[in-house]
Amino acid sequence: MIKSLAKRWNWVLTALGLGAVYWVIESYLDVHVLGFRNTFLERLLAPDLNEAWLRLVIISLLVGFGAFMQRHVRQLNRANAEVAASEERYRTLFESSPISLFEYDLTDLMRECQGTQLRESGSVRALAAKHREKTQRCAEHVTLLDCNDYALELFGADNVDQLSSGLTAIISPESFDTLVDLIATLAGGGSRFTGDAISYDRSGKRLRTEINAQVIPDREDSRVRMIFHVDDLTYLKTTEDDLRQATDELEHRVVERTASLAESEERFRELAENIDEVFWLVDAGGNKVYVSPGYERFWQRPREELYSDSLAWLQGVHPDDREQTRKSLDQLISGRYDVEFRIVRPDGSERWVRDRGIPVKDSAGAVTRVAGITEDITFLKTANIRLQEMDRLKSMFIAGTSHELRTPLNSIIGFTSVILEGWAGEIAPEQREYLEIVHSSGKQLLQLVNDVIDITKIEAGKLDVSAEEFELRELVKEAAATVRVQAEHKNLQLNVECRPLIMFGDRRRLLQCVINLLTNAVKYTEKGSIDFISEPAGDLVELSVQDTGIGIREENIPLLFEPFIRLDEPAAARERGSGLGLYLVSKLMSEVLGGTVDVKSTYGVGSRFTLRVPVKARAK
Amino acid sequence: MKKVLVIEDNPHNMKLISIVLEHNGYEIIGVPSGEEGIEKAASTDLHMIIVDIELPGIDGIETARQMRMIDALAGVPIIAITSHAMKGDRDRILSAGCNGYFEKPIDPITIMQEIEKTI
Repeated sequence: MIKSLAKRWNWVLTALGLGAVYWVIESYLDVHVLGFRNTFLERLLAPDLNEAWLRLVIISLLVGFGAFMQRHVRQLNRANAEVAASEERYRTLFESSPISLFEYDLTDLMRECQGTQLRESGSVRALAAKHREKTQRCAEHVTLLDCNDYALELFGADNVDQLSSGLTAIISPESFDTLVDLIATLAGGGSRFTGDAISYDRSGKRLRTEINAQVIPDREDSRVRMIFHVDDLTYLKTTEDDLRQATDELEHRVVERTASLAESEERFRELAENIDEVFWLVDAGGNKVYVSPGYERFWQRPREELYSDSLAWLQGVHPDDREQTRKSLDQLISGRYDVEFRIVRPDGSERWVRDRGIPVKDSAGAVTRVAGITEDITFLKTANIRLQEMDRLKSMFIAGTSHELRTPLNSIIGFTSVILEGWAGEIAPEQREYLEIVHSSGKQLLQLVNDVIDITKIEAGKLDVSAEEFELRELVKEAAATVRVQAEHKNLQLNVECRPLIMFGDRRRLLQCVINLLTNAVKYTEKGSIDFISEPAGDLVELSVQDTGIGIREENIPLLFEPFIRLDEPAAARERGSGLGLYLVSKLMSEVLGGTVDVKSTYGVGSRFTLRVPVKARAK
Repeated sequence: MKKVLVIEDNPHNMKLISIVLEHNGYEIIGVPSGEEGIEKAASTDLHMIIVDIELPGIDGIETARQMRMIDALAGVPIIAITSHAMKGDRDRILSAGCNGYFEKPIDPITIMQEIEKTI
């Protein structure tokens, strides 16, 4: 108030002041210098010319001095106002800045460090780093002069006092390296510093910050003051870290994948280059993409020819197989390309080849490539041919042997028959008994030989198949006649029920099957009955033989139609057949008569064998 | 006595057939080959001819066919003996002019039944 009043009225005050000064000077001059007796007022009213001049000079001097002073004071005032305004602006800027600012006095820290440098030789950086604990302690004692609101907010404090003292508030001991950098920068005369640090706010939350510091220009005292701007980059850094980690991981994975890919390719190449099979790849257009070196070894032709003409390999195919092979190439895309052909090599040697292609599809299901493999199957082929030849020889051998076996058997059976008929004279009962054994054994052996011949013929596809019209009832009667004597001998009841039915097919073979089943039934039944039943079933006729015999265990049923399977049953062991009977029946049914045979049986109760035969066999 | 010509190269079979037939009151003329059989058939008054299919020289089928071309034998039944029927044997036997056939082994009863039926 007083100040502003003084400002406004300074002219008046100056004038009054100057007047007072003039009064004092005048009074002094009057009394001591000039020796006047008159008072100032008297002299003012009755002036003396000399006096007047003198006064005029004095007044002029005073007025001039007053004007000068006035001007100087005005300038001083203006300068003061400017400084105040600037300071105000600076404070406002500091206080309300939207960035965190801290003001520190680093004088002691720097002094200590430089003192250390004087005592020990070495760079400040090295020394600060060397005396870690001491440096850290000094940093803790650095004075925090001030900080702004934003800084308080960042560190979760309400006022400056709540912040921990020293630089450790913003540069935690974890970031010792940053502290050393700062000291080194300042010691080297630098006024600007930037570095990363870890800071902890009041609640102990870890902040990852960036520190930007600037030395405040030295004023009167020679203290080192710095403004620190602390930027919280935690989120940024974390994100950056995550990003870096993700990138690293990705990179790692790429490296790994590349390595495994390279390894896989290497393995594939090793395989493709070294196998004797030829491995090839063609694109959807049929152009060769890859052919393994095996091609050159096996076909004895250069691989290069395939890249200019993908069908060049056909020239190496045996002329007789070439056209067929070329045609089958149409199946490449469909995936059914699988052919066997011969190749003729430049040295004249011939090899058998199996060539296969597997289509490779993209995610949309379109065939992009065909991968194929060409194998040398010469060995297999020749082995197969040899096998077929051996099989043929075996069949011939069996047929031949069987025929030769049959001739002496015919004599054995024939002559024993004649003797048993009594045409060669009387025989004793004991002789008859033995001869009957010889006779039945001979017949059994003959049956075995005949069965073997039939099976061999069926397997070789050489069985004589005939087709004729016949009456089923006659056939069944004939079959029943062959077992009737035996059945009566065992006191078994043989019931044959067959409706008249004209059939067309191989009568002899059907008869063979029916006899076989009836013979078995009689053989394996000790008491009770054997029933033959015929039932039409659409285009088929079902012929069943039901007995009350020993039956078959369930687990043995699948074995029944296998050759030479003799079920291990005491009762069965007593009766010896060829071991081929049912096998032959099933073969005849499936291969000759176009029918089926099956069995239902209860162990100890009986069995029922059923033939299902077409009434009219298809003409062959 | 009814005369039967038996053409059979195997002496055992020949013997067996002879026993059976002789026992049933037939007179046997036995020859071991087709050629001799044809010659004999042409010069003898026969009631029946029995011929084995498997013979050295011309086989039984051929023998039967040639005999069928001899007018004098037109009314004489020919019966073939076959071992287990070979592929197409049956048709060949009948189309060669045979009246019937029987399969080995020779069962005396069956043979006689077949013969009685044919004559």
